[in-house]
Amino acid sequence: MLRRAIPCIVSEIRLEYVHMLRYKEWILAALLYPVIFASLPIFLGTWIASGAEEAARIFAENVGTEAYSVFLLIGANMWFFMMTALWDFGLKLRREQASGVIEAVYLSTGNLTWPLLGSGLFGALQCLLRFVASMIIGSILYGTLRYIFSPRFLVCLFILAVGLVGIYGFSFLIGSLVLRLKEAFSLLVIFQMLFGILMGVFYPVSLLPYGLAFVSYFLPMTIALNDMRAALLSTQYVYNIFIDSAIMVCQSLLYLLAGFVVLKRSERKIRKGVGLASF
Amino acid sequence: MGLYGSTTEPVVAENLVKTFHPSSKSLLFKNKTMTVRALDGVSLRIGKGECFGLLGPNGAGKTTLVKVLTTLLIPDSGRAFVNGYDVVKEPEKVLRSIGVMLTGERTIYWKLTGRENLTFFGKIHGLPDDRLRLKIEQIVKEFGLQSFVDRMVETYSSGQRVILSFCKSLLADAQTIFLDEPTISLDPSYAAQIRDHIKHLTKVERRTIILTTQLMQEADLLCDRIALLNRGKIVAMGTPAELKGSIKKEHVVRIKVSAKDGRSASIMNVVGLPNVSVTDAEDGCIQIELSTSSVEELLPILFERLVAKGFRVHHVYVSEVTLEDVFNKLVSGGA
Repeated sequence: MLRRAIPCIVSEIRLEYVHMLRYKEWILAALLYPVIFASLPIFLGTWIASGAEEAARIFAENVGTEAYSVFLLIGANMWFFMMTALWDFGLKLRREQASGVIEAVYLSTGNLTWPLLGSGLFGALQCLLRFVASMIIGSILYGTLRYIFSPRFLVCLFILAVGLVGIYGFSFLIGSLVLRLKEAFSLLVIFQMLFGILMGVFYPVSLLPYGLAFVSYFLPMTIALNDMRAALLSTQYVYNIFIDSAIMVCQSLLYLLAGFVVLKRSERKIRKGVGLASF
Repeated sequence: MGLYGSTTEPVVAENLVKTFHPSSKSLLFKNKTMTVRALDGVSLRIGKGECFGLLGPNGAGKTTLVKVLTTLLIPDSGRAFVNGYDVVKEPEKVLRSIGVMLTGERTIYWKLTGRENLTFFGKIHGLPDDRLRLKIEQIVKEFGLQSFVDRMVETYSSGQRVILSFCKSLLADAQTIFLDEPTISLDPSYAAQIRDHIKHLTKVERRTIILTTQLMQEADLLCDRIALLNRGKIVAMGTPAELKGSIKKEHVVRIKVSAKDGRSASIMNVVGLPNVSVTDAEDGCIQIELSTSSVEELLPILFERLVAKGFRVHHVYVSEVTLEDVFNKLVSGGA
């Protein structure tokens, strides 16, 4: 199986890479978007607190770190990754359904799992690189470069890498539903906002009411986001880095497996119905 | 391997049924669901090295049949085996053993070049790098793709995209190839190139081709056997000659003669047959036109009479029964 899967996954990664190069403007947009998105609450907070120093003091009292701009930059990046991952699979499947190329891919591989895994892997790698670049740009703007050049940033990257598997596993599941449910796109729009609230893009999840905080930990991005901040800014881990990582790995496997099962079932159901090209 | 694993026939289908349930959309909420029987008990067997044509009007079930045989659709009932593999239970084995060209030009990535497309689809099919590189080079030379293969597909003409899709179906050197309207939207030279290649694949390389087409002449030219589909059913199947022989049709016979002494008025007596029209042709000859269902009996008698009375025969035209006549008779219900 691996002998068939690996060339397929590698080819898909290459395909996504070539597509990315053919739309170069998107690379710049992807790097700047999290910085711009984080700037909204940074400016708002600084203005409300009547200055950067006062903003840092109030933020430290509530959250445990003065580096609110880094805190918000990490949140904005994660929200952007979550959105990208959620939409990537769904959009890719829909685009290829609409163009008819999805049937050609299926006819060459016999399944859609390997191409989607390749696409997900490329997305995850891209997110890691984007995170580094976007954090550097943001830190230059807000004068927080010392956080980026500390060894803690590597721990932060490690947590992101583990978290991204879960995020892409989750979007694999959502993407599989998009293939089957025509209405899934409108649900995605609501979900992305809901997930943004639950995962704590601009605040720690611990500030949420208990019920919401409990639910939020079932999302694969919540623990990753919390722990990246904990690693870089010495705020609180959920338990500790090892237990949190173990939970994230379990979540990742669970979501990937669920996505795989739903995709296979969707694929078969569609072939029993009107076929892959219908959308 | 399935029940037909030991058979030498690359394609076997038995009693295939496939229904669709489209719903008609009204402006607001009320949807009405219909049932369309796209395949209604289709059975066929296709031999090795055969070029098998699927003919029929739009919506007859040709593409649905190809999609079932290529595992893109699962039939409601019935069984089908391609190269010995069950299309429902062993789809990946079926796909590894076939080449497929689907209708249209949108089965390739428009933001990639032609070469990048061929490489991508070859690799995900599982072809080794060296073999794939050689195969692409061979295809590029054979089909004269040099001038555009390294350009992005979005800059191609429709014909170039169709040619590329056709080439894609040849990458794996599969023994059984499904071609869904391969010459649609091609100019005559490209279409001829593809037809020549199909002939080569079946006659020289003994590969099996399943071809759907709307072009009767193309089917007549390429196919060893043809199945005529209408409303999901095979209404006739056989060689082009058998199909043409299966319908009775009057032949139109046109003979151009000249009389040595210009006695055209007497020609009606010479012919001595009812329903004959005689007209003066522009070149000074006389044209005789008549309809008959027994050309073989009529022509020698007619010639004998004309020559005996001093007429010179310049040209004879006898209309043939075409696949279009068969199509019209069996599908449209025409004469």
